Amino acid sequence: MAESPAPGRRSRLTGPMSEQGTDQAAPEVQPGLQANAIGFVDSVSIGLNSTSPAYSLAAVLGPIALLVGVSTPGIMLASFVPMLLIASSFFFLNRVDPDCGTTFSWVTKAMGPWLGWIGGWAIAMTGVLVLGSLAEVAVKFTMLTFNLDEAVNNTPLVMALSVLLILVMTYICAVGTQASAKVQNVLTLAQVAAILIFIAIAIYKVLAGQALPGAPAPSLSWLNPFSEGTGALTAGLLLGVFAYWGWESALNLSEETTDSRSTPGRAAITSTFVLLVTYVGTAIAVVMLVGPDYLSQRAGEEELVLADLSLTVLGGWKWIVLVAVATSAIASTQTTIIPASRCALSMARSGAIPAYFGRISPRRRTPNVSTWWVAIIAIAWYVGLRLLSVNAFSDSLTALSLMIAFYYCLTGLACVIFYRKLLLKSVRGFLFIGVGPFLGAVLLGWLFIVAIISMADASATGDSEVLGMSETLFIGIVLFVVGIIFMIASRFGGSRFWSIKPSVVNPALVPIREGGTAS
Amino acid sequence: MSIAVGYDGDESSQRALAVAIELARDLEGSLLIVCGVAPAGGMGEEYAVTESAVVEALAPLVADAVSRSHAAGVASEAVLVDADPVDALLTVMEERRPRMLVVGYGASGRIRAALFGAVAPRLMDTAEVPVLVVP
Repeated sequence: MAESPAPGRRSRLTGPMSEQGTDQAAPEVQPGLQANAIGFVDSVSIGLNSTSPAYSLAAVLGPIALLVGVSTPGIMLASFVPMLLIASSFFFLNRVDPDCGTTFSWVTKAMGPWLGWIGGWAIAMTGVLVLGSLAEVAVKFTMLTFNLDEAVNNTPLVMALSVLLILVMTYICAVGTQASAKVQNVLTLAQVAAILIFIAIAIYKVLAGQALPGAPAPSLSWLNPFSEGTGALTAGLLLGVFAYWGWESALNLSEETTDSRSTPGRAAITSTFVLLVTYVGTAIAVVMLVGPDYLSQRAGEEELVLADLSLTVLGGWKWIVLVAVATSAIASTQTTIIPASRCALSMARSGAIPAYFGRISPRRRTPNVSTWWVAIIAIAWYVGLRLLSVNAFSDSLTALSLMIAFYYCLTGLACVIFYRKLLLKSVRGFLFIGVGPFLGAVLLGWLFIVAIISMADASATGDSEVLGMSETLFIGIVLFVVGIIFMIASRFGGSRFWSIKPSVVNPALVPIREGGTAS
Repeated sequence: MSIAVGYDGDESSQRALAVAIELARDLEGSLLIVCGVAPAGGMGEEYAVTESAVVEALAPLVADAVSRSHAAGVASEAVLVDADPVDALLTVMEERRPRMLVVGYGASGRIRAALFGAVAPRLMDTAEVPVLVVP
C-alpha cells in the first residue's frame, strides 16, 4: 500500500526552504525534539504497515488464485523480486534527495519535466484510484464481521457507505488528525497476528485430514511461478506487485531509528521476512485446504474469497480475519490520501499543475485543497467504475497494478540515470545502484508491456470489452490520455517547471564505497 | 524572564497572544512566539515540500504577531519548529527555558478536542513550567 506516514518526529534541521522556495528571506526552522526515535518494534510494524498486508491479501488472493491456481504461492514469492530491486532505487534516490521526495521529484531531476510529470500523474492517480477499492473492502468486511451477509450484496448500500467512508477519511486527513503511532503499531501487529493464526489453523486442519475434497496434495511445484504459461504469469505478477506496493518505504526509515547501526537492518529484514511468510503462507494454506477449483467458483467476487476462507478455517472465530482486513483497509485510506495529496501539492509548487492545488491550511498544516480533490476524483472514479463495469473490483485492481508497474519502472530508470556518472566507480554502487534498479525496471517494464499486449485482445482475457480491447486496458489508456492532455495544457501554460534541466547526483552526497566523495 | 506563547494565527491563538503581550509588558519580560510547522500526517512522501508550503503559509502570520508585540513595546522573537504545535512548545521549553507557556484553549468541546488534538490538555501532561490557558 501507499507509503505510511511514520510516527516519530524528524530531528534534522530543515534548511531555509527547498529549491522551490521563494526569493524572500525564509524563516529559519528549528528542529523538533529528538525524542521518539523509532525503535525495533516500531520499525518492524511500520515496515509491515506500509503494505497493509491484510487488505492486500484480501484484494489479490482471489484474483491471483483464479489466474494461476496452485502456483499462487510461487507467484507471491516471485513478485517480491521486482519489488526488492525497485525498492533499492527508492532507497538510493531518497538518500541524495532526502526530504522524502518521491517519483515525481526524482524523475523530474533525472529525466526532465516530461517524464517527471507523467510519473507524478501516475503516482497521484494510483493513490486516488485505490481509495474506492479500499473503502469497499473496508465496508464489506465490516458488514461480514457483524454477520450482515445479506447487506454485502446490496450494491447501492455498499456504494453509499464506501463513498461516505472516503469522505470521512478525507475529512480526517484534511483536519490533520491521525491515530497515535502506538495505536497504529498495535493495529498492524494485530493484523499480522490474525493472518498468522489463520495460516496455522488452516495448516493444522489439512494435517488433521479436514481439507476439502479436491484439494491437491502439497507439492514443491507450487513455488514455481512458471508453471501456468506467460499470460497467467505476467497478470499474476502484476497483482503480486500490487500486494507488495509500498514496501519500498520500509527501507527509508534507516536514519530515524534509535540505533542506526543495527536496528534498521534487522527491522527491515524482520518485517520483510514476516511479510513474505504471511503472503506465501496464506497462499499455501489456501491451496492446501480448499484447492483451486473451489476458488475458481468464486469468480466475480474475488474480494470475498478471504472472507469465505476465514469461515472455513476459523468457524465462529472468523471475525479475527474479517476485523483485521477491515481495519487494514480503513487505516490504508489515510496512508494513501496523505501521500497522494502531497504529491499534488509538490506538483503545484513546482509549477507542474495550477498553484490552486498547492494551497495549505495554516492552522491544520495540511494541503487541504489537494486533499479534497483526491476525494472528489476517487469518488467519481469509484462510482463511475461501479456503474459501468461488470467486474469493477478486479478491473480497477489490474488498472492500478499497471500504473504501479509504470511508475516503479520509471523510478528504477531514474535511479540508474541520476547516478550514471558514479556507477563505474565502485562494485557496490554498480550492483546495488546500477544493475539492481535497472533489472527491476526491465522486469516491470516487461510486465507492463506484456500485460498491455495481452489485454489488447479482449477475447483472450475473458474481460468485458470496449472497442475490441479489454475494459481494463481501455481504463488505463483513458487515464494516461487524460494525463497527457493535462500535461500538454500545463506545458502551454509555460510555468517554470518546464525549464527544469535533467541533472546528475551530487557526488558529495554519496559515500565513497558507492563511488561518491562523502566520507 | 521570557514567556512562550503558542501561535498559529487562529482566533484562539490571537487571544492567547494578546494576553501574553500584556503579561510580558507588565512583567517587563520578552516573548517567544512559537509555531509548529511540521505537516500534519507525519513523515512520508514529499514531506519537505509540504513543510515549505506550511512555513510559507504560517510565516507571515507569525511575522505579524511579532510586529504586534513590538508595537506594544514588548521584545519578541518568532520560533518556528519542525514539530506539531505541542512538541514545538515543549522543544522551546527545553531549549529556551521560558518561565511559562501561554496557549489558547482552541477547539472547544470534547468531540472537537478529540478530533483536532487539544493542545492545552496535552501540554498539561508534559510541560515542566506553568501553562496559562486562555479561554
